[in-house]
Amino acid sequence: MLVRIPLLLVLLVSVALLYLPGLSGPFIFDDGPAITGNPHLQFDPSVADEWRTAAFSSASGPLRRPIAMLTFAGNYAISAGITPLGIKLTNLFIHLACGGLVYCLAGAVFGYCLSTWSNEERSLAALFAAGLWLLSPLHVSTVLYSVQRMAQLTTFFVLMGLVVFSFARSRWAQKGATLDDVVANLLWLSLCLFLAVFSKENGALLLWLIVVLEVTLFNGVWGGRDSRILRWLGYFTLCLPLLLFSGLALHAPEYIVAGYQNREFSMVERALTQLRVLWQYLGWLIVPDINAMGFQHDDIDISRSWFSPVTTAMAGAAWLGVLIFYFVFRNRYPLFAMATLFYLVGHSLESSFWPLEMVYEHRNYLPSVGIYIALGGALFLVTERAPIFRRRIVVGLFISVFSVALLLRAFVWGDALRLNAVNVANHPASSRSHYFMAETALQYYDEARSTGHQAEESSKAQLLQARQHLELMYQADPQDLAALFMLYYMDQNYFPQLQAYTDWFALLLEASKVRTLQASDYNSLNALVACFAASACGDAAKLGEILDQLLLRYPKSVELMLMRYRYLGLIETTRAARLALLDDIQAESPGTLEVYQMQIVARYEAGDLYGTMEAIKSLLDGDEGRYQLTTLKRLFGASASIATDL
Amino acid sequence: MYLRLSGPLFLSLLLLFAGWVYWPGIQGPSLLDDMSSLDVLERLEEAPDQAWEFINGNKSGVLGRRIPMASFVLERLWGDGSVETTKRVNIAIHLFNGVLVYWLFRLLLTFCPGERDSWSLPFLCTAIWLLAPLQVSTVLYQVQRMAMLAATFSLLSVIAYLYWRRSIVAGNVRWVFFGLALLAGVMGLLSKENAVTVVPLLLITEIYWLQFQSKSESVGLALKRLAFGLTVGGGLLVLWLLISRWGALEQMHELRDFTLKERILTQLIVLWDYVRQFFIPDVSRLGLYHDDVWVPSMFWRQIETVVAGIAWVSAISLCLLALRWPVARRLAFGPLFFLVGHSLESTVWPLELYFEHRNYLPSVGLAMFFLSMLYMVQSQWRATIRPLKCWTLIYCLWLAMLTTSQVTIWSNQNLLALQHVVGHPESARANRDLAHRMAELGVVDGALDYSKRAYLAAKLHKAASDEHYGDFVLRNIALACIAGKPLSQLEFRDLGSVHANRPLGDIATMKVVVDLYYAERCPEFQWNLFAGHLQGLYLLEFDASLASARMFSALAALANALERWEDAYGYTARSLKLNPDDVQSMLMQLHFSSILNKGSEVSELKNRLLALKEKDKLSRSEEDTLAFYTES
Repeated sequence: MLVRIPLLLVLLVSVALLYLPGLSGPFIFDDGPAITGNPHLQFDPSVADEWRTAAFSSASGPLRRPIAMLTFAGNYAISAGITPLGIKLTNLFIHLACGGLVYCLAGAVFGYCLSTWSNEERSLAALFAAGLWLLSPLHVSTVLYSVQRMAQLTTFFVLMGLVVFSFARSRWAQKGATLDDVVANLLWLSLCLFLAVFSKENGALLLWLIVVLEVTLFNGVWGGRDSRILRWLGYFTLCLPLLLFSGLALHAPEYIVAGYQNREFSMVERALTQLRVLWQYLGWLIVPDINAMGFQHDDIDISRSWFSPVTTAMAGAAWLGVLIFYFVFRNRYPLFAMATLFYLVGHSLESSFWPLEMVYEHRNYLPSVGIYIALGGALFLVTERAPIFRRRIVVGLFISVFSVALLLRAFVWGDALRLNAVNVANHPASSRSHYFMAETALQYYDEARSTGHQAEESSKAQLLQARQHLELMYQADPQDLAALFMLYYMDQNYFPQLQAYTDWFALLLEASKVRTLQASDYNSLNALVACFAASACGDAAKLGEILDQLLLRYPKSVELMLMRYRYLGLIETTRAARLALLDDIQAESPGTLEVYQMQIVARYEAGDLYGTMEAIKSLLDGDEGRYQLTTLKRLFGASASIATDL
Repeated sequence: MYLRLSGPLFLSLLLLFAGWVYWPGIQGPSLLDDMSSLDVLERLEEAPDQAWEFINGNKSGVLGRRIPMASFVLERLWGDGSVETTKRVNIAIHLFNGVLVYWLFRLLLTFCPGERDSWSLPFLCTAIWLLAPLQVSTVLYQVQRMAMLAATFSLLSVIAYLYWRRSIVAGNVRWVFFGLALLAGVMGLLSKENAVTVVPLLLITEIYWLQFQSKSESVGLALKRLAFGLTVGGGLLVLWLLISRWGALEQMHELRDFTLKERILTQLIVLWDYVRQFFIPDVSRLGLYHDDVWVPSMFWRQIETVVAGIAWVSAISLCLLALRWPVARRLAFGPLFFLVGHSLESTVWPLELYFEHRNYLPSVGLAMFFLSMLYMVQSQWRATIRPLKCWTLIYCLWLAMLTTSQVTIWSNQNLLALQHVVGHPESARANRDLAHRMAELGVVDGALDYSKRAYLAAKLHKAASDEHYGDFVLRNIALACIAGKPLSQLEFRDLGSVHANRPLGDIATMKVVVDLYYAERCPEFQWNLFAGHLQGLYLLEFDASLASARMFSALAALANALERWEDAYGYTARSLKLNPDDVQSMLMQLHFSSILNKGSEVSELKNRLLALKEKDKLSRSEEDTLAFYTES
């Protein structure tokens, strides 16, 4: 069936060439904690155990995503360091490999549900579908966003599982299967599931997506006969996750709702907004408007109710219509049915009730596969049934538009300043886009200053640009801690004459009294503490006021307590007081490894070797996965540098 | 061609990988029995001509464990004599054993019908054995080279036997292989006595795996009769010995804090724990010290004992039942190999209750069970074998990952001491070890705290020998000295306040104290006051029941160091009263008598020693010492 391998190779090479301008791009956003700022990824590749700790060094998910992290460790070992080029190039190869699997999956799907077509026709349609997926400009923010290798790898293994299932199931539908064959394929699938889940947790969707293929394509057919039991079993398992989720929502709603404490929207608001977001994604997939795309979409209007904005109700009604259409015509249009369920199930984790951020383009990497397979098949069907649409022209048009859009977007992603400038231009209301723009401009200015070129007009312009974007951020949200902190920092260090006009610190203090802290605010506060620690933000005593305010409102926040601990170090409080605070934090949150680490440093600095050993013992005891082991070993290797090691 | 090359190629890669995983472990410390068995070798540098004596001088087993001792001696003579070198050699032996395990598995499969893919299954099962975290405490524990070499020769013996059997199957009998099997068996015995299990191992290999295959029917029948005859006969002999010597065995357990019955009941649980720790390791519990293991005293009172007992009875019954079916026999072979491998150290002998290194050879049986399972799947359900192999590979990588973390811990003395206490907070030995580490780091309060925990833990667990209060105080003296903050008279005068009829029991600690004096590590300690305190405890009356002969010798050594000749003479006199023929004590007494001008006693001792010399009962170094007195 897969007779178009040379054409596939041409396609893969073309995609690689189109992505080339983007490979020189920077590390961004979450790349920091996961890759560039991850101390476990700066390791000695000659020691086996350092690979293990590097592989388990991600704090992003409950399973720590070891397979993805292991590939980053591989990049580090090969390039003797973390370089954007090495990592993005690897991401590109994974993208191409995924494309190959999309081609195989599409081939298997068309082979079963478009069986009247010739092998060559099916293969061409599969190639077209794979081409659309590979060339989709929406995937640039996955492929060129280093840390999204996690999403890529999970997609790779999920696709592998789906390919295995669809080929085996096609065979079984026609000829039935032996127990041996079924067990063997179950073992293969479990292997794919294992690899997918340990790349990123939403690899678990493989199980649900298999059911999607079963109910939409194979529909209970086994050995050439229709099996009602199998069909109903398929529908039951399709609904099972929904039933389980409903059970969880009814019996332990706090498990879902708890995460919304650090969000500026509720669970209902998120679910309503996602109704619109899912249509938005779909639009970007089919009509790639690169001016609407972007790295950050925090400017999206949150749906506060069904009619605020009114498009929420329209989006909801449209989804209802799609589902009704699915139920009525599922047998007549199996490709449409497959694409619909594949897309919705693919988004079910990240675009539903869980307290994640609202919009990220990389969430479409897997769900889009069904859409593009259906689109490829549908366009081939249309051009077959209505010859007025010449197939070559239609295919050429799609490929050309996608390719140009991809090239432009990859080019934008090839330079930090360009990327952020385009993001700000596309999303002027996005605070984060302004923030990253300001940060990048400031970075360029600092680099120019370090090389003695700060007097140049372009450098000065960048400094002014940075401040301007921060002002815009502040105007958009006067309580934005990131904006307030950065403006305070800039006026302290670059525009001292402006300090007389606005007291940013006072505004920061006011904001800390009322603002609902979000995940990103903790980053800003940590940066603020670091700024005082580096003596770049003035007298450290001021910091205490903000932390006191926040701790009044969030008395059990371990992160805030740890910031207070660092603050006490800055104002030279007694060691006993600091150690007492650490003990309080430990009592509040037993098992927090960071607290043990701080205790080790604090007790070592206090000359309390017994306490240091006890703290190390506690860390060993609490660190069940032994993730900190290599750090501990280094610490004993050079005990004089305990503080710097940790 | 591909099949012929891929086996060795993948095996080489596996060995490289295993070596890489284990390599950081060479930085690890000397442990527990390393000191008593290997520290004597430090004298080898002064007297290399006495190498043969060092080889023959090990007292650990009845046969002297000459081969591992020879390897340690050669390592000292030719190498740098460092712990690192010893551990490097251990790792190399482990890798070599990996090759033997692979070789054994491949050979075993050649006796199975229809075997085509002959390298991948042995490769995967060897990887399981080679990378299991349970092996770390054998490979990185220097003195366990004895167990490793015993396994090496046992494996070689089984391999040679299989070659001999193959020649029988081919109709061209090669007795040289049989001879090699015997030779390897003897070499195994000279490595460690438990290599004696190779005999029953060969029998079960014949009965359960080879199943008397032969070109000629009569030879097959003869093999069958011989194997069953030896097995049944051997079994009955062991049974008779057990019944007739039960009382003696019980008596031997009086040296321990647990009875024979308690040991057997504990082993029922411990053996399952070994199986679990091999296949699904809980690395937090892995380590050297298991003296906190729970000791059941009644079979029916604890559910764990009942379940473990029933499970073992069922497993053994199934193994016996398996004799009826050829395929089932091969499945039963691995578990039986494991049990037979444990038949010496995990049964009735009064050894300590739990040591991971006891699994080094028996665990080959567990890997073999995996092999036979995979082989069965391959024969019956061919399509499933490929994904199963992939899963097995992932399993091996998981084991390797756990092993790397274990090796990291074993590569650092402080980490190892801390981890032992984390994994076994109630282990007296682990707490003692951490106390020692704390002392080495100069943390006296931590050292004394963990020393106390060790003392209390020893009271709590039967698996840990009950500790004399005096030993606890003596250890505190040593720890405080090591930490550089010696105890005052007020603190050590407690020694002897409890169990005055036997104030001290642990010779090792006393030796440490003597070494500390010689090393001048504790100049501020009131040594003479301490020696006076000991004199008050031991020498006021001539009571030889206050200590063992070795303890009196150790006390004499301390008195000697402090030049308290009268005390030293008194201690040695008591030692000789308990052990009149001990050459070392006689030499010591000769020394003290000479200093104290006890002429008649000097002559008597010289005569006795010269008589022993004439009977060739003195070692070279003892002869040299005696010559010093006779010539002067």
